[in-house]
Amino acid sequence: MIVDSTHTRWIILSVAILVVGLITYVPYHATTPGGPGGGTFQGLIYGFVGTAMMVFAGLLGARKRVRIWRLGRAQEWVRAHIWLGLISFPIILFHAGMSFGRGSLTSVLMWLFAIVILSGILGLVIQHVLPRMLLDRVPRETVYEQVPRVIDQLRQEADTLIESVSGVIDHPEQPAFAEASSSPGRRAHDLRTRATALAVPVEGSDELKRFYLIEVRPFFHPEGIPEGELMGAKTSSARFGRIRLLLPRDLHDTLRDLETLCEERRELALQQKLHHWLHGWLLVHIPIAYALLLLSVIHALMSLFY
Amino acid sequence: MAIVRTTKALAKRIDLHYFKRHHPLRSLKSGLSWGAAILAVLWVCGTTRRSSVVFMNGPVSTRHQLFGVSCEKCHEPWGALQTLTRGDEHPSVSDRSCSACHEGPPHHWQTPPEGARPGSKLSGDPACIHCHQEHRGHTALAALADRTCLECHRSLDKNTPSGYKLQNVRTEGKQVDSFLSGHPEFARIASRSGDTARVSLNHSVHLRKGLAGLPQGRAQLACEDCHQPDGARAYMRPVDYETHCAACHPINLNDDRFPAKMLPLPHDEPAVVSRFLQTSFAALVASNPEQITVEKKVRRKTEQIPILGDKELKADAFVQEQRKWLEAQRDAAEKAVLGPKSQTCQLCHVVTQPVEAAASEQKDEAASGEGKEAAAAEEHQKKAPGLAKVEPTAIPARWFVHSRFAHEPHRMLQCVACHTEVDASEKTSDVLLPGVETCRECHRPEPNHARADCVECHVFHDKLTSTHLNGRNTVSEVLKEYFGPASSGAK
Ligand code: HEM
Ligand code: HEM
Repeated sequence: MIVDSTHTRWIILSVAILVVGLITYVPYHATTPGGPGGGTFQGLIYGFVGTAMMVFAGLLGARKRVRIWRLGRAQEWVRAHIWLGLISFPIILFHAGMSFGRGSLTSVLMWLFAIVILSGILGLVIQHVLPRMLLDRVPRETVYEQVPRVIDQLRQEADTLIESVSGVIDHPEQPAFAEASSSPGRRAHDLRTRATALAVPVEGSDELKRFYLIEVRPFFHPEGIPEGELMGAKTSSARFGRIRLLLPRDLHDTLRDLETLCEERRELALQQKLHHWLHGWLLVHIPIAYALLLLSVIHALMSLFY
Repeated sequence: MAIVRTTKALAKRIDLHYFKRHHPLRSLKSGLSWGAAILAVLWVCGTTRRSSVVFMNGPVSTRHQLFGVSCEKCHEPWGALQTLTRGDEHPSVSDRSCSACHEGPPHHWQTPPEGARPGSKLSGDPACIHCHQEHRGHTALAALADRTCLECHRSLDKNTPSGYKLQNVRTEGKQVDSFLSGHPEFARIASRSGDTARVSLNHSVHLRKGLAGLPQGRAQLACEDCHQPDGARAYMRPVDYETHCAACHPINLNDDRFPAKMLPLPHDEPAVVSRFLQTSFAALVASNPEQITVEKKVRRKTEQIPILGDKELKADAFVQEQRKWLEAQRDAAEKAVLGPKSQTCQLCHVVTQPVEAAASEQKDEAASGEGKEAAAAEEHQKKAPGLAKVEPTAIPARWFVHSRFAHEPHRMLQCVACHTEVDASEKTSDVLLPGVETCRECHRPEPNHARADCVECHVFHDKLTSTHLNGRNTVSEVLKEYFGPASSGAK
């Protein structure tokens, strides 16, 4: 979600709510003898308004899940979610008389609330920065869920490339993906392998094969984000440079292709990393938001009862 | 040939059915959400099994710890809903809850506003919890912040919200912000009439070195020779003649006929002194009957003849002469101690002579219309006709009646550190109490100073009107009420 002119009306609404809250809060704070609190008439009003805004923010999740609730455009909901959610925090601070809670439940509520708001803001910042970064630095971006599959395809390509100059390579490791073995890509690879099996090894290809099997092939493991020399663009280029010096000229093109495949693998690793940031903040924001809403309801009921 | 990827080639790498497959990030989101919600509920349930303290918005005050976890002791069910529907005058803790244990005597008014019964709560008076805010930690509920008091008393010259105006305070244009800013000078200090006590006392003389009559070994009187604290070590006990003055200022009638040529008199009302004189002269005459003489002409000369030797005197005349003699002695002695020129009682007291008393009676009545003093004089004349009157000393027992004070916490200070004018004071009318500026030397709302909150000196509830000390419950009833049936087992 990018904050642009489409947010204007939600920003205006939220700022209006905040200004009304502030105008009513200042004299209330100054004239309430022991300090304002959630139990006064005005404090309760702030409590209800703030809670309503929080519940509305929480409904974003329900709106996504419950089909019949799909009123309004999803983007509009997110816009409202961001601004009303953000303003609900000062409104609840007015409710609590600017206290961060003195009891166990109220303190927990306020800390959870702070986490939800901060993670929301962090998420928004991430959503502004990362997609552009992804566009610039991962031109061959793929669907995130397909990253392991594409890596496996890259490995198969690399295998074929090396086998084409060094004969069948003898790798102990089976394809990491059981699914991959039944995929169309796998079948194509098998055919190609059979074709290259007959290729006569080019002289000096042993060095390339060793380098491939020991250093490059593990780099194409589809799970996790690999470490090592090949992960950094500069260190990888240096490493390939050193290998190039050891190889006959005939194998330089193959080495360059292998380097390109490594580069692609690096991009996918970056895509994975950015994706984790892009969506990982929600792993904090959403669960804490639900816990917050639940505890808020408990707090409201207990506070109204006593 | 270098590897080139076309968009088509890139698209072809993707399994188009990927979205049908379960993905860890998505399930992690819902798993964590459920986990967090369940954890929240477990936490609340777990803590409430032990006590409901988790719902409490901060610990209760020290004195309420006894029943701090029993919310219903103070809160009425759905009390906050009442606040919401009926306003802040209906808080979830009503005055009813507080008055179950606390008498909460009313604010001390000297003159209640018109129509108000003294001691009753005024409409517009705040609810208990308006000032005494609970769940603010282990503090004393009575330790109120200044702003609580200033809510009504910021402008001293205006009516409070309940229509009450402060009495006997200097109000001119006063806007109180704190003890340091705007607090008026104490009325007693500011008043031009000074100390109106009707007794003569010269502090300067009494504190002189080498004063006559000092106990042996003492070079000078000390403050505590005359000023001693009460049982609570708060205020000074009134100075008492027998304890503090008699040793140096005995009251004697100088008369050669008595042993040691003087008659020690009681320190009491003139009527008592008069009776004492009569009894003393009667005793004198009983042991020395020749004392009583009558004037008689003996060979053209007037002589004083002891009546005992007057054979011609009849019995009743004898008695009459005796009475006359006694009265004459008494009157002369009274004049000697209470008369206008005497320095016996008048050394310290204001004495009104019998004629003056009658005259002042009329004058006062005409002047003030109140006739209070005149009534007192009349009363005196009825009780002791023809006797002089010793005016009441009217030394205030408490000087600053709007506040409370304790000497005890100030004991590290010299008396003259606060009562600075004492050494030089010669007149009774000098007010020797410290003024607001003296207090402010130490009591300032600043760090490293003594506290200067309103409640440090002022109390809201007039505890003098509260008499209730004998409650209604036994120990086991109280235990049962506060801690439940199990605890009442202990008898
Ligand atoms: C309709 C919803 C709500 C109602 C009726 C409500 C009611 C109350 C009441 C009656 C109090 C005063 C308790 C006391 O003084 O003992 C209070 C205090 C408080 N409430 Fe709420 N509340 C609501 C929502 C919330 C929410 C959503 C939050 C935070 C996420 C919250 C945070 C607090 C805090 C921090 C305090 C303590 C203030 C202080 O320290 O004095 N409340 N609430
Ligand atoms: C009362 C406070 C809030 C609550 C209860 C809350 C709750 C939630 C929930 C439940 C979701 C997940 C929706 C889903 O299932 O995908 C969500 C998403 C999100 N929240 Fe909040 N949130 C709050 C405040 C905020 C704030 C203050 C911001 C930003 C400043 C924010 C930004 C976001 C964003 C950007 C998303 C992702 C929406 C999307 O792109 O799908 N939230 N929030």
